[in-house]
Amino acid sequence: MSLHAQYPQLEWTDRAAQAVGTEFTGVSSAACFTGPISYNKSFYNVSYQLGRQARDNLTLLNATTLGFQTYGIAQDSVNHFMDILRLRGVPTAAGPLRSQRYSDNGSVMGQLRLLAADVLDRTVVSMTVTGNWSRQSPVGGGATQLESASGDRVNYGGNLPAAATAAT
Amino acid sequence: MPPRSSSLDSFVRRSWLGLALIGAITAADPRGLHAQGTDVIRGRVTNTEGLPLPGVRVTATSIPGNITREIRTNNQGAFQIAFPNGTGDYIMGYALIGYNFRQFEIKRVADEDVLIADARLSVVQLDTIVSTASNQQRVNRNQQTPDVSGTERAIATANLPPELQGDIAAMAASLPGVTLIPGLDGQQDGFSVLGLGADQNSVTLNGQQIGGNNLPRDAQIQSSLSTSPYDGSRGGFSGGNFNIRPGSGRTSARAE
Repeated sequence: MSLHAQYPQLEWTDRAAQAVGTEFTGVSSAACFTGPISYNKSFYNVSYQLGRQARDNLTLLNATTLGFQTYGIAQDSVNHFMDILRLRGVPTAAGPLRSQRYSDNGSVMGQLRLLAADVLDRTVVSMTVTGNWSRQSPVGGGATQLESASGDRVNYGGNLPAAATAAT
Repeated sequence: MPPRSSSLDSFVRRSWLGLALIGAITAADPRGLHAQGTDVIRGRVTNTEGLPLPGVRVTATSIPGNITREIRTNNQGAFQIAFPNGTGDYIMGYALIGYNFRQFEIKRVADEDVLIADARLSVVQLDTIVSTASNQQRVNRNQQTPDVSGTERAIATANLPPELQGDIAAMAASLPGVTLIPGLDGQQDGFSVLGLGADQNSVTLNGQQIGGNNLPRDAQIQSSLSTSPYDGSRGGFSGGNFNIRPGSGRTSARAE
């Protein structure tokens, strides 16, 4: 059972890294529960993890001059580009501006292991389930993109493999 | 010319004197009297503490004639050997397992009726025995890396920072020769082996193909990465195979 937390104050970054949103705040919790269902006959083993990371959502709209320079872009070039978009009526954001970019993730893993009733029969049946989920909101390419160029991404995955083994 | 009778008398007297001298010498040598008798050799064999030793193999070898007689000592450690027409001079031998073999000569020096051949045997002092044997390595029945090619390497998640301990790509990339491919725009991370793309890898759970890139960091698993396994039954990848082996449950409930 563990809890992990990380704060920007604990990260050693320079000003350029800070200007492109490298620093983040993260917290995650994980635990494992294990034990017998029936003594010496069946066992369970379940573990999970949930976590979130948050960092500044820097885009062309809110990055600093140092952030643009870090990417190799001059501030006046960004201003010129934004003027063109404004003159042409191209929206720079598809919705409300989000100041933070979140990366959430969760995973679970469980196993059920059954032993044969006869102690001489060394057959073991095990069934394992794994699942994971992650979401990034918004998906961002950093200070070189507009807010409207990104959306959210959600990943799901799961498995339920089972196996029976007989030791000889 | 001297009379013949005086010469004959002189010869007879000298002969008698010679015979008398031979008789005197014979009488002075006791061996002469027992040369035609029976020699009896008796003795008692004990250890260094004076306790009798039963079962000692005692041999007596006559020096002229080289005739050997053998006997075992009784429970009192005593023995007796008879030599008809003995010579009075013998080499005695005493042998018993665990004791030093002893040998000495006995000789009749006077007119003894019985030759005494007591002996005291000491325990064999063994030298230090050094036994060396090559250590034959055997296959561990509980070995978690069944691949014999040597390319399967266990992954120690403790070497990773906590936020990456459940990340399969980061776990694989903790091994030399494996490169992490960070996921862009929210994509999951991958790893590269031999310069191949992340899609050339496989992730298996107990040998069965699964998807997913994340596991709980507290999960009780053992993980390994093999790049070119010898086992022909393991395939489906050209880069690396990340195999996960979950641990079994415990006999007592606990949270970890």
